[in-house]
Amino acid sequence: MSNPQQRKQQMSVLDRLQRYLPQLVVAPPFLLLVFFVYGFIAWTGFISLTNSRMLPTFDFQGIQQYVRLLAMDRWNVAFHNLLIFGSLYILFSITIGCVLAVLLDQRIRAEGALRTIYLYPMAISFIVTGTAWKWTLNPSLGIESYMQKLGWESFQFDWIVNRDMAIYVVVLAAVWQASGFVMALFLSALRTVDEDIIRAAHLDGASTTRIYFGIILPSLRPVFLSAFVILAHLSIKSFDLVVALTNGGPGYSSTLPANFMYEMAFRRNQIGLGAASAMMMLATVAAIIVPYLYSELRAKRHG
Amino acid sequence: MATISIEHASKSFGATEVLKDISLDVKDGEFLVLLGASGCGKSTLLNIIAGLEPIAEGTIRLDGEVVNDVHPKNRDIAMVFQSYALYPNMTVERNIAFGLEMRRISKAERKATVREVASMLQIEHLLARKPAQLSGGQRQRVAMGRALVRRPKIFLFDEPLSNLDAKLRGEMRTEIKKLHQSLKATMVYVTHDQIEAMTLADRIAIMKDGVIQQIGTPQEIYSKPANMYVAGFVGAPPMNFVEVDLVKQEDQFGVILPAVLKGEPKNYFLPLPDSKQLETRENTKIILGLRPEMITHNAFTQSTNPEIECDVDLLEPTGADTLCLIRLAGHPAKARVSPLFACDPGESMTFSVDMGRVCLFDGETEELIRL
Repeated sequence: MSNPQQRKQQMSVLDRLQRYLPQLVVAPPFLLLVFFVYGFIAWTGFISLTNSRMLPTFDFQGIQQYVRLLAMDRWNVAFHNLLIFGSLYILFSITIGCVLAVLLDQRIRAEGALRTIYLYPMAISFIVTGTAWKWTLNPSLGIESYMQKLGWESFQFDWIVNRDMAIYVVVLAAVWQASGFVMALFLSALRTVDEDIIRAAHLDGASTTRIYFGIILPSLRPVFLSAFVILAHLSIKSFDLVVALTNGGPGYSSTLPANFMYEMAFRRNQIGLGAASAMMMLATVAAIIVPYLYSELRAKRHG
Repeated sequence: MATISIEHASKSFGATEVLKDISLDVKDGEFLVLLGASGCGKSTLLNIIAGLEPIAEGTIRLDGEVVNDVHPKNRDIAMVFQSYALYPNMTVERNIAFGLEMRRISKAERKATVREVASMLQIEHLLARKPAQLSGGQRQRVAMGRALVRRPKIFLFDEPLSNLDAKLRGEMRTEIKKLHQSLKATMVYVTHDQIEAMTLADRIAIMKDGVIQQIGTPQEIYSKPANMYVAGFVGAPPMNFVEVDLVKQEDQFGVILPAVLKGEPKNYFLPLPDSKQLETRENTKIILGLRPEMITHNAFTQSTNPEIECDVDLLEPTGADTLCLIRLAGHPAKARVSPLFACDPGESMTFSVDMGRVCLFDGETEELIRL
C-alpha cells in the first residue's frame, strides 16, 4: 500500500494532467494548421520570389515574378474579370436574396417548400451548376436554339461564346447558385425582428415599404456585412465554376485569377509565376477579411 | 373626446377562440385596465382596438364611429409595447419623431415637440443615443415619449412595465398615473399584474379564456368579486376558499368552519348576515371566501365578530404584517395579523373572523351569492 506522501504525488500528476489536458488535445491540430496553412502560405510567398519553373528552386530574384505577372495580358484579363465578377456577383446575390427573403417573410403559403427550392442550388456542386448552365446557354443546344425552333428566328443569346460577354455568364450561374443562400441568411435574420417594431411602425403611420427600407433592413446591417464577406471570398476563390462553364474561354476571356494560378503552376511549369498570382489573391482576400475580423473583434471587446 | 365602444367582438386563431362575444365601453378620459393571465385574450383585444388585428365579428367604435376597417394609423391611437419596440437603427430623437415624420410635420416643429416631450420624461440627455445604448427604464421612457409626442386621442399600453425590475416598475407606475391625470386622455392598459391593475385603473376588466368575467372599479372587484376566478386573481396573498356547510342554528344562518386545534379537528359555527338569498340554500355546500385580512388577531376588531382558535403551522413575516398559515377544512389558509400579536409556529392562536365582509360562492357555478 502506498503511504500518504506517495499518494499525494500521484494525485498531483493526475491533477497536472487534468490541467494540461485541453492544451494537449488542441496542440496537434494547431500544429497541423500552422504547418499546412500558414507554413505553406509562407512557402508560396518564398517561391513567388524565386525563378522556379517546373520545380521549386532557390534562385532568389526579388519581385521579378510580380513584375512579369502584372505585365501579362492574361493576368490583367483575369483580374479585371474578378472585379466584374466579384462586384456583380455580390451585388445581385444580395439584392435578389434580400428581395426573396422579404417576399417570403410575408407569411405566405407553402413557405417551407419555396424556401427549400430557392436554397437548393447551394447544395449542388459548382461543376454540376457549370455543366447545366453550359448546356442551357449553348447556342446550338439550349435557349437560343429552342427559341429559334419555336419560330423566333432572329433570337440571339450567345453570351457563352462571346468574348466580351462570357464573364457575365459566369456571373449568371454563380448568382443563381448563391442568392438562395443569401435569402436563407436574410430570412433567418428577418424572423428575429421583433414583430412589435413592425406594429409600432404601422401605428406611427409608416407604409410596409417604408418599414422595410427605413427600419428593418437598416437594422440588418450585420447580416449584410456577413453576406458581403462570405460572397467576396467565394468570388475570389471561384475556380471550378469557370472550369465547368466556359473553361476560361473563349480564349482566356473568362478566366479568373484562380484559373490563372492553376494554369501557370500546374500546367505551364511556371511555379514562380503561379505562386506570385496566388499571393496576389491572398492579398485581395486579406484586404476584405482583415478589416472585417478587426471590426468584429473590436465590437466584441467593447460589447 | 375619445370613447371606445366594442360590441359583440369575437376572434379566433385557427380553431382556438381567443375572444368570445366581448362587449365593452370605455368612457372619455377613463383609465381601463384589462387584467388576466397570459393567453386570456387581453392583448388580442388591445390589438383589435389598435387595428393591428382585424376583428372577425362585432363592431368597434371610436367616438361613436365604426372603425372596423380603418387602418391603425388613421385611428389616432398610440401604443406602448412590452418589448418597447424601439427602432434599433434610429436615435432616440428620430424614434420619438418618427410618427410625426410619417405625418409630414415640418422638421422645426418636430424638433420642438420632441424636446418638449423629452423634457417631460427627463430623457433630453439621451436624444442622440441609439436604443441599444439605453437601460431598460430609459427605453421604457423613450417608448412612452414616442406615444406621447403625437398627442393621440387614445393611449394603449401592452404590459409596458413587465420587463422592468420591481423598483423601477413602481416608479413608472406612478408616472403613468400622473401622466393620465395631467393628460386626461382615454387609456387602455393590459397587464397580468393585479397590483398594477388595482393602483392604476379607474375600472378593471378581468378576462379569462376570451370572456370578460367582471368590469368594475378596483374596490368593487376586490370586495365583491363576481366569481371565484376573479376573487382568486385579485389580491395578494389570494383569497382563501373553504368549502363549508350552510346551516341554521337558533334561527340564525351560518356556516360550519372545520379548523384544527391542538392537532384535533374542531368545528366552529360562524353566523352570517341575514339574507333571503340563503333560505333556499340551507344544508347545502357553499364556498366561503375569506381574504387573509378578514382572519386577524382580535385586539382592535369589533367584539361582535366570531372568534376561532386554531393551530398555526407556519409564519411568513412580510414586515408590516405577518401571515399565519392555518388549516381550514383540510386545506392551508392564510391569516394576516400584526407582527405584535403573532404566536410562534406550532402554537395555537385566537383569530376573529370579519363575517360582514366575507364572500359566499355557489358550490357549483362558482358565482358570487349576492346577499
